[in-house]
Amino acid sequence: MQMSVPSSLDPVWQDLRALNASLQRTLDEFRASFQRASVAGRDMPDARLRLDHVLKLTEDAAHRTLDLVERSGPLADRMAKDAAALIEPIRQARAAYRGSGVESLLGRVETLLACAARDGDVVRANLAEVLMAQSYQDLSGQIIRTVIKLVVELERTLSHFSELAGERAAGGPDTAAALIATGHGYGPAIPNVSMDAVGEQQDVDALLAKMGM
Amino acid sequence: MSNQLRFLVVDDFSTMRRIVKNLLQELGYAHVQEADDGSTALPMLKTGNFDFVITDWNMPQLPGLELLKAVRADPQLKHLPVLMVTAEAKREQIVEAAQAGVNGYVIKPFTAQTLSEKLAKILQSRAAAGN
Repeated sequence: MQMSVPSSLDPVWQDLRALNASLQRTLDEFRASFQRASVAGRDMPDARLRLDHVLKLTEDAAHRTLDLVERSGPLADRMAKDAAALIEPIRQARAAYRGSGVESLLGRVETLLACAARDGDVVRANLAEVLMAQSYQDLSGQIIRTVIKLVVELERTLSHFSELAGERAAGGPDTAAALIATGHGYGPAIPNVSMDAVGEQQDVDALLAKMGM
Repeated sequence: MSNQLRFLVVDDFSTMRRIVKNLLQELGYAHVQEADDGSTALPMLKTGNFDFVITDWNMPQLPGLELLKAVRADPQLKHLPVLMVTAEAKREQIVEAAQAGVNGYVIKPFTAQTLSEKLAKILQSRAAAGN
C-alpha cells in the first residue's frame, strides 16, 4: 500500500529517491572495488613485492658501490704515498744532473709526482664521501619497510572490508582508525607526511562528529 | 693501545654496518665485528670479546634501546660504552636513551667527523674516569 504524498512535498520526495539511488550505486561500487582489490588479491601483494624489490635494488647498488670504494681506496692511498716518497729522490737526481739534457725531464717527473700525490689524497677523500653517501640506503630502506608494513595492514583491512561489503554492511570507524594508526610511530620522519596524516584524520573526525558519531 | 679496542657494530641494515666498519678502520680500529639485531648482539657481547658497542635503535627483534638496557643490567657488561647511531630523532627518545645509560647519540645521516668526535669524547671521558 502506497502512502499519498502532498504535492508540496513532491520535490523533497524526488530528492530522497535520487539520494536513495545514489546511495545504492555507491554501495554497489564500494563492494565491487573492494572485491577487485582484495578478493582478486593481486594489487596489494604486487605493491608489497615491488617495494621489497626496490629495497633489494638499493641494497645491491649500495653494496656494489661499497665494494668499489673499498677496492679503490687502497689504490688511491698507495698511489699518493708512492708518488710522495719518490719526490725527494727525483729532486736530488735533478740537482745531480743540473745542466744536462735530463734535468728538464726530471723536473717534469717531479711535477707529475707532486700532482699524483695531491690527486691521490683528493680521490681518497672523495671516496670517503661516496662511502658516507651510501647511508641513504639505510634511511630510505627504513621508510620503505614502514610503507611495506602499512601495505600489509591495508591489505588485511581491505580484505575485511570486502567481506563486510559482500554482506552489504559498512565497515566501522574502528577499522579505519586502526589502519591510520599503523602508519605512525616507527622509522625516520618523512617531511610533511605525518602532518598530512594528522590533518586527514582531523577532517574525518570533524565529518563524523557532524554526523553525530 | 686504544686502536686495539674491539668493536661490535649492531644494525639491521648491512650497508650501514659496512659504512660504520669502514669508518672505524679509517680511524685505525681493526677489530670490528657485526651483528644484525640486538638479539644476536647480546650473546656475542656475553662472550666478553668486546670493548665498545655501536648500535642502531630500530631493529626487528631486539631494538637498540632494549639492548642498551640489557647491557646495563648485566654485571659483566654494564661498563661497556654504548654509542647509539640511529634515525630515531624524537626528543623523548634521546632522553630515554640517556636515562637508560647511553654514552653517546648520533643521528643518521651523520658525517665521518661526527662519529669520530663522539667516539673520541666517550673514550676521553672513560680514560679520565680511569676505565
